[in-house]
Amino acid sequence: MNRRILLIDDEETIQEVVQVGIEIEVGWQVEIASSGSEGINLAQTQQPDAILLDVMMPDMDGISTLSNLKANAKTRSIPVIFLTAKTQVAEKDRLQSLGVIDVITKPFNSMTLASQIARILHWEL
Amino acid sequence: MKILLIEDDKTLIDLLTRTLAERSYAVDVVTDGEQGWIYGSTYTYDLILLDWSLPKLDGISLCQRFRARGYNTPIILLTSRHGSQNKIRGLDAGADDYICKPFDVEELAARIRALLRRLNCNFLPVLSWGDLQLDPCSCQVTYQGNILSLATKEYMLLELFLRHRQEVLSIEDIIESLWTSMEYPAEATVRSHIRHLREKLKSAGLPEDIITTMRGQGYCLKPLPQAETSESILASEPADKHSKHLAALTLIWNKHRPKRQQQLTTIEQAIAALQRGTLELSDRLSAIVAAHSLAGNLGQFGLYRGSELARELEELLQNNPNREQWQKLSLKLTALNEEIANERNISPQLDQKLAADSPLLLIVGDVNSSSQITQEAKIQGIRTKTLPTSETVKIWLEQQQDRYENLPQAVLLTISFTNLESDLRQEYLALIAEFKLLEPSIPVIVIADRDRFGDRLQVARHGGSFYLTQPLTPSQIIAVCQQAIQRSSRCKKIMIVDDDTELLQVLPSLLQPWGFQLTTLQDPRQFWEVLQAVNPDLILLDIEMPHLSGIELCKVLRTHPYWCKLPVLFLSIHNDRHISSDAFASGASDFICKPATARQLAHRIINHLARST
Repeated sequence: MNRRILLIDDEETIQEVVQVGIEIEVGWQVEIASSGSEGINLAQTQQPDAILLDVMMPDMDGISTLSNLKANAKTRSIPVIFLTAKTQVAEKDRLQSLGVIDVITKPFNSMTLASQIARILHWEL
Repeated sequence: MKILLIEDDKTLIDLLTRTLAERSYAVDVVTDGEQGWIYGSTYTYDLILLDWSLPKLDGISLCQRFRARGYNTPIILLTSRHGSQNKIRGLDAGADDYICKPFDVEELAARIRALLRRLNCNFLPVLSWGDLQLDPCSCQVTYQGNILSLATKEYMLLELFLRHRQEVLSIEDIIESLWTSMEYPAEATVRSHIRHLREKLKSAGLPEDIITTMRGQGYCLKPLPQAETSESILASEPADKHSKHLAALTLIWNKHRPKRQQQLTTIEQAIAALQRGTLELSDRLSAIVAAHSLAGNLGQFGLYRGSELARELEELLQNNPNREQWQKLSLKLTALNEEIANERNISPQLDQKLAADSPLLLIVGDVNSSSQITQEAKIQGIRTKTLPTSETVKIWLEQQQDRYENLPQAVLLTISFTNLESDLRQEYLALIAEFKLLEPSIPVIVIADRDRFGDRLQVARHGGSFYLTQPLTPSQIIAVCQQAIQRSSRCKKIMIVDDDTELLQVLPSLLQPWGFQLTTLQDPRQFWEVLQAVNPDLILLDIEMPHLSGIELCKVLRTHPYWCKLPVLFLSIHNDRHISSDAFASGASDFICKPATARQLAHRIINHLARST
């Protein structure tokens, strides 16, 4: 099944690594937003199957972006997975309590990223 | 696609050969188990349909024979035996799927498609090349929505190319895949089918010939032209998905070299300004952003040391460093520069680094369900290697020449206590002991087909780590494997604080076989700084040291919310009850008297690591 993932991350390198990782490994489509506000707009218009959201971004950070997504009826039900470099358990727990499905820590293995997402979201590969 | 049907019921043979031929499969039929073995071990098939009850050699025994000899062709077992016990027996014997008679041929066809999809790692139900689509379910080929009328062999050829993209298929490969073993088509016949297929694709409107002729080698499917954006990343078309992925990452790495250089310069300028005492807030913030970006990106390419250094720089800069700290920052930046400069040619290392990232699970014995387990392991970021017999394991182990970095972190061993001859069973049990005796020992997870105390005892006696009984789902199995892997000592960071120079020099080589990452520290005054830089999984502390005692250091650790649960093992030359009780009162996890053998020490470390994970 051709899934559509929206990645919201300001880092160009991460954007490209996620894109090639997912497209080569499983062939899902990856939409890119470089900021929280761009991500919110794209989420509304594109209705992706899932959103990968970076926590640390300039201007609007991941947590504000998430609350915007959750406050909007059009985007409320899209599953969101946080991408974060913070690896401490307490930080992961805190992020998870904000209403995201799960947290993937950076650096991630781009070869298994799609499988990881599929597992989190109970998607069949 | 070529299927071997091993079945003695004439009516069923007629029905299945007709049904499968309609779906463009080439089918060889044999009517007894021995013939099945001869055909199955002589020719290459994409799949075997195997009846349970057969003359000469029954389906279960044949299945076991295929698996025991290392044949991993997918097998679907056909049988009139219902009930989960029979299904379990069939699957345990090495079958990949099981279907009860009477069955719906459509269901069987769907199971064949699903199995072939899974084994080809091509999870999409429809095969495609751009707008050209082949649906194995309806056997229909369309281009931009219009149906193409292909003859059976043309359809089979197209399916073969689509399933084996990026492989060069010789005429012999094609004959072997598309014709039954009783047919001997001339090479010219194959070429003529390919020519017809090309003509039909052309007249359907495909802009280019999708099949490339490789002179003297055969034919292959052309790579699909990429969309403009991804073309820059996927400029070259390497042989498989894995190398394609690596090539793409290498291109990204190279593409962003100027940006990394710019980020390093930003940090360098901030440090120079700090040294002069003129560091402005805006410059410090730019340097923080640059260090943060480097920390995130370098790890993505396997440069973990570089990532760590960048993160340390980020933290130092965030804490508004004073002028005296410029040298410390400068040293870290130099180290970071070196790490990055060492990786100018990243592609050879990247593969190794990404692979080294994930632990290796060795699957022994049950090749039948290994594809599902492998898939589940992959999801969990575990690499797998499958070896069919204890003999092949021994050969493989010898080939590794005790290089522990090549050895697995855990072994999954399937033992059929019901079916195995006692000497084979002994061989498997001996294998458990062999892994146990390795240094460091490798945990063996045994999957058994029955739950008897005697069997458990045998496995435990030989050093098995887990004894699980069927039925189990792949995810249950992998969860236990993960547990075993986490218990393993490999790459666990151990920090040793001791003022005994000699001990610090000798311990790393003594503990080397266990694969720990050791950091030694002689001066306890640097303890806190080194601790934070290393972030160890366990600490070994000497009791008596100049300036600060181990007990004091342990007390400090226990006051910190992050470090309060870190395992701390004391090493002391004093076998004194008062000293040990002081150590435990300060929060020690264990107390070991010097001299201790490396083995004793390693086992204590491993035990504490296991409890803390």
